[in-house]
Amino acid sequence: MKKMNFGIAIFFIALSCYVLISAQSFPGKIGNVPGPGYFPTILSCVLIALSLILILTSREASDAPLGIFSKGNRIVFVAAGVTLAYFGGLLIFGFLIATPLYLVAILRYFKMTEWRSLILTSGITTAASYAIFTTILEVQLPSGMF
Amino acid sequence: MMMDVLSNVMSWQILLAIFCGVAAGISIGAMPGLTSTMGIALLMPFTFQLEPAVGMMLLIGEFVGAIYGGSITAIMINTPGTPSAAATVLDGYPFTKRGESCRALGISTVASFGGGIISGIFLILIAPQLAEIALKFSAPETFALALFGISIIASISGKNLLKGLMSGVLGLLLALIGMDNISGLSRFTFDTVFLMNGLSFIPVMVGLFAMSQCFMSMEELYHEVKVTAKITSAIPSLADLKKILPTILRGGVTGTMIGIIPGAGGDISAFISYDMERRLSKHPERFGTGIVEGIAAPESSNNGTTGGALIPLLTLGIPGDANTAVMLGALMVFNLTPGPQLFVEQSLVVNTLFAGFMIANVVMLIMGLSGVRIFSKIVQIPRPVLVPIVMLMCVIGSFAINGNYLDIIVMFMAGIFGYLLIKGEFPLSPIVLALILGPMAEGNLRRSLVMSHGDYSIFLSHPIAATFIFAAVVSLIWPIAKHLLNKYSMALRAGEMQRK
Repeated sequence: MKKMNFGIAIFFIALSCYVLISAQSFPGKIGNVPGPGYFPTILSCVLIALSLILILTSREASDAPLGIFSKGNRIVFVAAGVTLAYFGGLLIFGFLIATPLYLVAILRYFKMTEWRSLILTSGITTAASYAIFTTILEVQLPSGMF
Repeated sequence: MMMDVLSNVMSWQILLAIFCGVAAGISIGAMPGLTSTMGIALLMPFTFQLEPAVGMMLLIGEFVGAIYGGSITAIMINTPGTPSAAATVLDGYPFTKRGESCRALGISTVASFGGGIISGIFLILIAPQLAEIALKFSAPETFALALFGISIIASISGKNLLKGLMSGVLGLLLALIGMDNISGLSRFTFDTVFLMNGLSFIPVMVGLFAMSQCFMSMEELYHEVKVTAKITSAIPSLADLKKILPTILRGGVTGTMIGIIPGAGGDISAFISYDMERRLSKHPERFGTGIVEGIAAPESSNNGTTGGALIPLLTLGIPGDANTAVMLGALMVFNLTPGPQLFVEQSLVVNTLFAGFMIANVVMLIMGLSGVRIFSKIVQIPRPVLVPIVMLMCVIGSFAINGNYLDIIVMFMAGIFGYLLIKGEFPLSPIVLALILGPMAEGNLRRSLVMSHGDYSIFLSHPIAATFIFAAVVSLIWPIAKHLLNKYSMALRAGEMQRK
């Protein structure tokens, strides 16, 4: 938890510094009234202060690892990677081709070993979601480049 | 008006939306790990092409169903489906151990229905009166109200106040993205047209509440839910009904009142009602051993919060919890700006929502009593199948709102970021609350100061604004003071122990 707190606090400080620097290019006041730079400046200062308090108070926090990047937690990042690849697939091949491929890949990775149920689940889910969104709800789903 | 509302609410579209919403809500609520907020975020994309009243009824139905649905697994497998059902476990599971799970499920269904109906009556009676008062609000009052809404962050931060405040400030910073409403200047848009209108709420909410939850579920992907209890009929006996009636009345009223208070949700109200009922009981020692009042109190109370939470949402545009925060986003997508004007300009929609809320509770009662067997089966859908389907819904939902690929990326980034924040024990609700209320606060503060030529005393010369600012200060400082006092007394006690 300690490392996590430090990591997030440092990220927040970096973000606040970026906001603070960017906000200097906006007018802080327009006449007597706060301008567009007023709130970003105040908020980023508050976030920096809160992050510093977190760093200071986290010194007493437990040092036990959260296991986010552990081997056992690899499944989260592999699934996130496959999902990211699916976004690319959507852009290139469109919903009807990319979705069943994505579902087959991820279900297989989630240890669904039986091919028949794998293909049925992927096919039915794709067909049902396509039918609901395009036919009933009239939402345009990605059609791809071709 | 009455006839218009009736014909509206009895239309097949609205009835179907309520039916689907409640069914989805009960299923989602019953599955441990899936929350009612996640359900609302996931269902939202299905509503974009619907009429506003139909779409909102789908979401309200889900809200009502999910709060009840949490009790199913609380009773059957000793695991609350939602945090609101945590108190139900105490007396619910002992029924299952005695082989009386159906009796417990029946009591929970009737109590949830009773609590929901009581809160619906309060909603219908209080909301229009409150909206009438809110009609007199100008920029200073609206700023003070938004400030009060933001101050709730302190009370919804859970056990870690500092992290909650950090999440809230992050949400306020995210709300700054886009074109400044007053000066027309672009802020933090990286010169892209995509960010000119600010971050789209829906992809951020879907990412934070649904996608991040999928990542969390993956950590326990192969944990199976097994329902061993035999399910038959859940209709409670007349003797049980007589016994729980006063409990339901008290729980429903308590839940509604707690629901109205922004920041306090079903989980808190359920425990308060449970404790209250135990104190009032002639046999307090029997609580926790499996008695009907021990189920009726938390269940009527947590469903009582549903109607209560809708009161500040619809009348003032202040979401009291994560569920109503997501619903606020949905209202905005429908161009229904919540607040007093909604009651003037869209009175038919508002009254349809009121009537629909009551019907949703009736549908929940019917489904709960007749469909427990089906819902107990749904609970057992293996996570390796469920998680990819939910992830797919997140992708479609984010894309559907504007037909823009970048929204999918925003959703995904919010999902990853939400996952890391959950792991770091940062609450997510403050981000959404601040993201929604931030622009309202900033815009109205500046408008107020334009009105007063930069004189800040305008907020004190408006009594309602001054009251809200005072309430905001108290709401922000009280949890901080309480937190520090607790720490101080703990340190004091530890010191005493060491001396001994």
